[in-house]
Order: sequence, then C-alpha cells, then structure tokens
Amino acid sequence: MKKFLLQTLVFVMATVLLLTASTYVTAFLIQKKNGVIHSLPVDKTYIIIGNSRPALAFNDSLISNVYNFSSVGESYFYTYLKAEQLIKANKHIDGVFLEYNMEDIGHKRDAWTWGKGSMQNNHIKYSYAMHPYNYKVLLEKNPGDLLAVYFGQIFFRQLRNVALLDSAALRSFYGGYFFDGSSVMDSTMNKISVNQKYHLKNVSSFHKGQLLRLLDLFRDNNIKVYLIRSPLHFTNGKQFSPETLIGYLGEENKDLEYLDFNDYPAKMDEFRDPSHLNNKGSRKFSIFFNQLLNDGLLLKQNKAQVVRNELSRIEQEQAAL
Amino acid sequence: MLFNSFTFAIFLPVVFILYWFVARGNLRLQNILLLVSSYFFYACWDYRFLFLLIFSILLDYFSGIKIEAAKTRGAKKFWLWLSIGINLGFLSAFKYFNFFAASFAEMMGGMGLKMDMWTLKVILPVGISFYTFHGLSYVIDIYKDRIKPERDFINYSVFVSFFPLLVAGPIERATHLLPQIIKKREFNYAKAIDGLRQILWGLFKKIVIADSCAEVVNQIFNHSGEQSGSTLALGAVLFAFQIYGDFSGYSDIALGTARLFGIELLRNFAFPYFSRDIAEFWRRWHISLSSWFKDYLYIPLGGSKGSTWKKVRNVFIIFIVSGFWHGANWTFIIWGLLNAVYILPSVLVKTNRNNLEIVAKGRLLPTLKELALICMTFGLTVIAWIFFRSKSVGAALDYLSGIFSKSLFTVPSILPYTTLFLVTVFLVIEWLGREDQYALQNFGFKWARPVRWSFYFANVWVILFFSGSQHEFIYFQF
Repeated sequence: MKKFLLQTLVFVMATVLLLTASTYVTAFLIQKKNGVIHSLPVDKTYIIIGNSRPALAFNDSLISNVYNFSSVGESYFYTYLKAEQLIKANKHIDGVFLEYNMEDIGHKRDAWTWGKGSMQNNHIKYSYAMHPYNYKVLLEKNPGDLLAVYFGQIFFRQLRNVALLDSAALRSFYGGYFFDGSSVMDSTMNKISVNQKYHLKNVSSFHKGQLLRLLDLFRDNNIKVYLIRSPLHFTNGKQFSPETLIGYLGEENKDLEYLDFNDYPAKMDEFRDPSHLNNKGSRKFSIFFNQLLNDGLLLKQNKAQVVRNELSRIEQEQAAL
Repeated sequence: MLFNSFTFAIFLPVVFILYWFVARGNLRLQNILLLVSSYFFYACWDYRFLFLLIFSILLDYFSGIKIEAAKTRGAKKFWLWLSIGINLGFLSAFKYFNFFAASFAEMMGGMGLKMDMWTLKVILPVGISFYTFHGLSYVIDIYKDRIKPERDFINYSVFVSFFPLLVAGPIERATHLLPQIIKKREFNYAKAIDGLRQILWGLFKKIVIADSCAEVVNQIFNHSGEQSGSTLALGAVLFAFQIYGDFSGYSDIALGTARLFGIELLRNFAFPYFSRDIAEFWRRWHISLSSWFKDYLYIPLGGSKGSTWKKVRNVFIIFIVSGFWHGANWTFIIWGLLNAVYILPSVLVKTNRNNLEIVAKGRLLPTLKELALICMTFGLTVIAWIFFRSKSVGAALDYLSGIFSKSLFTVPSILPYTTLFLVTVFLVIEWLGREDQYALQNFGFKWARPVRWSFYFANVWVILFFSGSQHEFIYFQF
C-alpha cells in the first residue's frame, strides 16, 4: 500500500511540476517578446482598444498618430491586461479610444471571459501577465476549462507564438485592424425593423467592474480616455444615449467624453454585418475619422456635439446625392 | 458526478483512503463505506431517484428471500413475477411510456382518429436500465437455484449500487460479484496499478477520442442535408469511434476504479472493431449486456436449437429487445433489426462461432483475408450505427442515401486532421494490445521506468489538452 501511494503521489507531483514548469517556461519566452508585441511606433500617440467592432471599423493605416490594437472577441477582463502591457511598453501614449456600449458590460460577455474558447484565445496571450486576481476569477467561474487550458494547452499554443518570429504577425495575434472584405448584409434588411434595445437588467456588475478598473488604470497613468461607439447598422435597434452610458459609470466618470459613431451613415455594402463595417466601410470611415482628428477634434470643447454635427452633415450630403 | 469530472477526481481518492486506511480489515465497515459513497455518487445526479433505487433494491432483496422460502413452485413463480413485473413496470413507466403513447397516437392518426395522448413529463432516472437488470438477474438466478439469496442487506445493496457500475454498467451477475463483496479483500499493489492504468486508458478513450470525434460527428449529423457522400461516410465512421471510445472508455474507468477497491468487474469490451464477423463483434461489444440477453432471454427461448423458424424468431427477438433496451425510439429497434439480419445467416449455417480467438494472435499483422473481413464487419457496423445516431428513421435513411451518391468519391468537405490522427494512433495502440484485457495493460511494460512514465505523462498531458467542458457519456441516457 505504501509503495502504491508513494508511486502515485510521485507521479502526480511530477506531472503537476512538469506541466507547471513547461507552462512557465513558454510564458517566460513570450514575456521576453513583450517588447515586440506591445511596443508601438513613437508617432502613434493614441490607441484604439476594444472588441471586433473597432477592430473592423478603424483602419489605422489611414489614421495618423493612432494605432488600432482592438481584438476580436475580447472582453474588458483581457483588455485590462493588454492595456497594462501597452502602458508599460509605450510611455508616449497620450490618449486611448475605448469602445463602450451597453452590451460590453452585459452578461453576454461572460463567454468572452471564461468560456473555453475565450480562455484558449485570450488567456493564453496574457497568461504571463495575469495576476492572482485573474486566476481567482477564472477558477471561480470555470475551473474545469481553466485547468484544461492552463495545463494542457498553454504550452503548445505559446510555443506556436514563440515560433511566430515575425513581429508583425505576432503583434496581429494580439490585436490590430481586422481586414474583412465580406458582406453578409441582405438587401431585405432595410425593411426589417428590429427592436433589440438592450435592457439594464442584462448588465453584469462583473463586466462593469472590469470597465471601471480599466478607466482607473488609464487615469492613474495620466492617459486621456475617449469612449467611442463604432458604426452600427440601424437594424441593431435603438441604442442607449451616450449620456445614459456615461451616467451608468458613476460620479467619478461623469466627465468622460463619448464620441458616438453609431449613426455614421455607412451604406449597405459597407457593412460586413449589422454590427461591423467591412473594409470598404472602414476605409471611408477611417478617412472621415482621420479628418476629424486633423481638424482638431480632440482640442475642441464639445467633442460629442462636433461628431454629431459632422455625421448629420454627411447624411445630408448623401441625401442630396 | 461524471467520471471525467474534477469532482470525481476528489471523490475517488477520498473514498479510496477511507476504504483502505479507516475501514481496513473490517469487511462490514468497507461495505458500508462503499454503499454510502455509492448513494452519494448517485445522489449527485438527482437525489430524488435515490429512493427509486433503494425501492428497487428492497424489492429484489425481499423477493429473493421469499422465492427461496416459498414451498411450492407456484409461490416461487409468484414472487419471481412480482419482482419482474414491478421492475419492468418502473422501467416501462420511465423509459417507454411516452414512446408507446406517441406511437399509439400516431397509429390512430394514420387511421384517421385524432388522439390527444397523455404523456409523462418525467426525466429518465440515470442507470435505471442497468440496475434493473442487476436485480432481475439476481431473482432469476435464485428462482433457477443457481444461487442462494443474500440475507445481508448491506452486501446485497453494494452488489446493485456499487458506484463504478451503477450508472452505465457493466451489468453484473450475482454469481460473479456477490462472492467478491462477501469475501474479505486485501490490497493488491499489482492490481491497483493495473486499475490506475485502465482508468488512464479509459479517460484517453473518452476525452481524447470520443469527445474529439463528437464535435465533428455533431457537425456532420446536424447538417447532414448539406454534406457530400464522402463527408457523411466520414461522419458515420467517426461516430463508430465516438461511441466505442465513449462507452468502452466508461467501462475501462469503471473496471479500473473497482480494481482499486479489490473488486473485479465483468469485462465489457474486447476490441470489437477487430472482429471478423458480426457474431464475433457481438461477443466483443457490450459483453455484459449481450451475455445477459443470451443467458436470460435467448437460451430460455431455445437459443439456436430447434427448427429454423425458431432460430430466426429467437435471433430477431433478442436483437429487437436489445435495440429497445437502448432507448424508446424506432431508430434503436431498426438498429437491432439490422444486426439480427447481419448475424442470422451465420446462425443458420452454424458459422457464428468460427472466430473465437482474437484476430492474428501471436502475429504483428493480420492476413489480407483477415483485414478484408475486419473492414467488411466494420462497414456493416457503421451502417447500423447510422440508425443508432440519427434522430429518426427517416433521417437515417436520408443519411444513408446521401452516402451512397456520386459525391461519395469526392474529397470530404470536412477533414478533421487532428481527430483522424488521434484515431489512427488509438487504433495502433488498440491493435498492439488486443491480446490483453485492455490495450494499455501490458503496453510498454518492457520499457525502462523513465520511458514508461514519460509515456503515461504524455497520456495525461493529451487528456488535459482535450479536457475541459465535460461531455456526458452516451450510455447514461440508457
């Protein structure tokens, strides 16, 4: 019996040690590449972060001074880790455009945080940068998948990342403008009236808390935050007003500025789907956004009103055509 | 509590340590511990059905005593049929009532009579088909004077509800398991190590093979109308590996777990996909159920003795009942019928016992003839599995007609390279270990310990790599 218990214990311990060691070794190798991944050109003093909406909307090759580091399917829980690394690697960042809509603090983001697929994609990117707090959350929410991802998968996936020697390829794995030339929009959608108004009861205190952490992080590092909402097709339904969205973040954040591009009048063939622009749409939109910045948007007092006026102007111009 | 869950990974060592340290040398205490843990294990599914399990145990326990005590044949028969009737009554109510009600309403509808049938809105108690069959074999064996009734209620309860076999078998016999429960058990190092190895292999089969195949299979079966013939064929083949990995993986974990407690359970699988004919397949697939039907249904009906008509009748009865045992759906019945059609010629011409030994015994490779026979048997089995997996007979027929189309000779639109690679590795290991109880039993035994441990370590790693969201075992629904 003693021999059996001893051997079993030795095997289990050896397995756990080996798995942990291999995970840490690869995490260390990735950490070594942190500079390659997160260091941005010095002329890029503004970053855009968020999920697939800004990732597809902002073609940063057309926007001076701005780097789009958004990533598809990324929740604030992981955006926080990304922001920490970006701040650490880039002392020259002046401001950040952060995507924020009611959905981003809703329960739908649970799967983006502790769903197995999300952990495979996001947790693996930042396992080296994670804090005990992050592990505590994931362990509480989805222990089975976390252990599977942590012990079984990180090693192989990080090895793959290490193998991605080309810095551009490695960086794009972490975020960047997402080129998508497709469109699944149907002409009949124009006639559909959808009311998908997001209800306040769907808001998750967890995800709201992650956004507040993120805002605190930027505040602590003297980085100016501009909340943004990327263009959405009207079939997404009526959206919450910027005032409501800011109001929901509490007294401390009431002075935040919100640049709402929800009503940007993109044409049908400029959308990939009702929630995302395609490359055609993003091209036009990015030129428009770049012009706004060049015209000194960020220096103006009432930025939200300037954006609204510009959107109305484009709409009128399009109507006149 | 699933075998492939973290809860079980904690439950098992706790019970093991209590069993061999706290209750060591005290058989009664060991059995009480096994019983309490088994009830806890079962209650983790749904504590309400624990009462049904206990009722079933009480029924068969007292029926067994009454059968033996009865003075006349008639009285014995009364107690036997009382037990059988109530057991099958529960099974029918929970498993088959809705099927019969729906089929009856459909039949009436076909005759122009619209019937609004009342159906039971109940969930199927997990393991009911398995523990009902445990109990039935026990009372039938007492009635047939094969065994004496067990008068110790704890011992009898452990026989029915021993947690490794409680929810999905193997279906044990009192003649095999009860003597082990009554006898004092000593810890055996070699057996315990063997048990762990079998658990490891079972987890590999379930998590790496079955669950990987399941993702592709679900994708193909759920959108079968849009797939090419070759993709559908691939889906059917992968389902064959999914169900084998799933169920034989479960059985391996059950057998390995029982061995840790010094108990040997009946072998349930013996490399069925290396069979050279369907009769051999059925001697190697779900052995505990096949032999149960053989002993308690087929042989009492006359078996392969008597007129040709009787032989045909018996073969069809046993396979239809076997199909029906799996579930209340016409797809299972067709699956059973199809197997009856497959096996019937060999029963009639008495070639059904031609291949009793494992294929290519003592050789590394099979002969070309053996390989052809294996492939043919596997192909027939795969066709039958399509009915087993499909939601309806119509869907299965559509699936089959989809396979046998021109697009069968195209490249499948879904090519899961990782899954195919894993299945290939799995098949190679199974082939190399086919002369043992399970593939890993003596695999790598001659290797130096560091190499052997590295192999086990790699196994654990692969299991962890593919683990995560726990998929239920297919046979829990039966």
